[in-house]
Amino acid sequence: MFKGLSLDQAPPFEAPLLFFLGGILFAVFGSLAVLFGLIDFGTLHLFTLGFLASVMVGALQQMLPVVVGVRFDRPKLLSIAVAVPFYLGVLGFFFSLSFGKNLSLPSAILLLMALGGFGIVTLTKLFKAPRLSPTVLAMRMSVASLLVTVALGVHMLMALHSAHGLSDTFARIHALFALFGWIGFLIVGVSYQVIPMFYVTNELDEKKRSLLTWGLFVTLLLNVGGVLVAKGAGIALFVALLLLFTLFALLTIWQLRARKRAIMEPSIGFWYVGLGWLSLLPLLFWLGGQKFVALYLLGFAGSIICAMLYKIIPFLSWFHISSWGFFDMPTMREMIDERLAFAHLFLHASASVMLLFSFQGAAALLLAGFVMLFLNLLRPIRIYFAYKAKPSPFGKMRT
Amino acid sequence: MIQEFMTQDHRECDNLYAPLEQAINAEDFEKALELFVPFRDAMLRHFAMEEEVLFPKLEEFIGGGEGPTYVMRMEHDQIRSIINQLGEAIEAKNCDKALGLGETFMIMTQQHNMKEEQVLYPMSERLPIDQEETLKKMKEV
Repeated sequence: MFKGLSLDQAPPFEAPLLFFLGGILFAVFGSLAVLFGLIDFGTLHLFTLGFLASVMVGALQQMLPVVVGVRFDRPKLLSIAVAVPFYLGVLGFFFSLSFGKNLSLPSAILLLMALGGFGIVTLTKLFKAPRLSPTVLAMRMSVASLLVTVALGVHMLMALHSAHGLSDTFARIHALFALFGWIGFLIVGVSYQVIPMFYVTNELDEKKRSLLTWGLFVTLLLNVGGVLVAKGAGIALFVALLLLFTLFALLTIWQLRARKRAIMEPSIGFWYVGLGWLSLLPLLFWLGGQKFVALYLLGFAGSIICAMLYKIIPFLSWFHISSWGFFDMPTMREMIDERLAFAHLFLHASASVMLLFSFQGAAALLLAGFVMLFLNLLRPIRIYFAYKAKPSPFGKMRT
Repeated sequence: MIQEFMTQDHRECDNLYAPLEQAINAEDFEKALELFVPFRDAMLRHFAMEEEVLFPKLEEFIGGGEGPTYVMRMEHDQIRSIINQLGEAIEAKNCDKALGLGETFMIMTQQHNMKEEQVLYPMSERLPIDQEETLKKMKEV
């Protein structure tokens, strides 16, 4: 019945780290592109694919053994097999859309191989979970949304240089599944698990969490239906979807405010910034598409990603060193200079406000912030590799 | 039954840790030491319930070897080591070290708890083990 279940802390650190660092580098690259005035669909996908999807793929790879008890086989090989076509695909996509290079067909194939392949393997594993918690449910919906997003995206990319051009209907459905399905559900699912546990908060009971998750999913599907059949009636459905996300954001803010661990640390600040912007979605919608999408991606999702990276990377560094039998390594807190992480939080929060007024002004702040994030996270990574080079007290094999 | 009881016990341990962290942060080491003892005892009792009663029961069906219970025991050792170091840091009145160990304890323990709550406890509910008897023995630890 439980064949193949493993609770080992898989995968080796290098496997998700490739996606985490790759993601931050694409965020730097994307910020530079906006700073130089390149504000188009190519640049948008440097953030959605290069930054967000990259970190999310790494996070899923790391979280799957924890929430499902099933690990990816040969994780380092999998990371390389996904990362190489993925990053080449993102770059090809960017040069196709932003510089008019005719790279859309190879980019589409590479992205389909990388994200389609990863999505199918991950979804299959998610269906093996011994317990269908609201987190597993939201993760299934998220990865299923990723597959729809990729299928539609690849189709549109291939049609880019054809005589038919882009289909507005497909583009809208692609955006709905990408923003609210893939990104939204993954963050919702992870926060159900992480917020009560990391910060010691009350939690919504399981029935209410499942109800909210299903409510979000059904409303997303109704929106897709609205785009397909009733183009005029879409706004009410869309606002309903945004209000449900607002409900989730407010409930989570309420949980965080009543947390029992009173210490204020940078990751909590990033959660507040992200959830704050999410709670304002129904108002931001009236600002127009570009600002709405930018604030959703960088104000909301980008902030949550920073919050998670500041926890995950030092923890994994510490955990792997500890499992080799060392006791003298720095603690998680000692691996990150908290003052610099707070400085990054300030830059990121300022950048998200600046998105309301000037994309280029925001890009300058984002660029400084993402460089700072990279530098802040470099220390736990260096510590990991320094200990990896030492002989283990246990003489344990290292993968 | 087991899932509910053990999950609740995880939360109770978390609730004992939160005020301890606050006392460390306020550099009130006398109070921190007072709060540390029941927190450590609750954690060690939780591990003992699992290692002495629940895991051997599960191993009758899923085997020991390097399977899930082996990994959980290894992580218990890692957590026990952090708790010991945390106690030493509180005694030495080293605020930064104690907060650093506390944070590391928290994340280590929570990812460990997630695995138990998502995988191991559901497993124990679905295997043909006597739930009531196992629960009774765990409470006696």
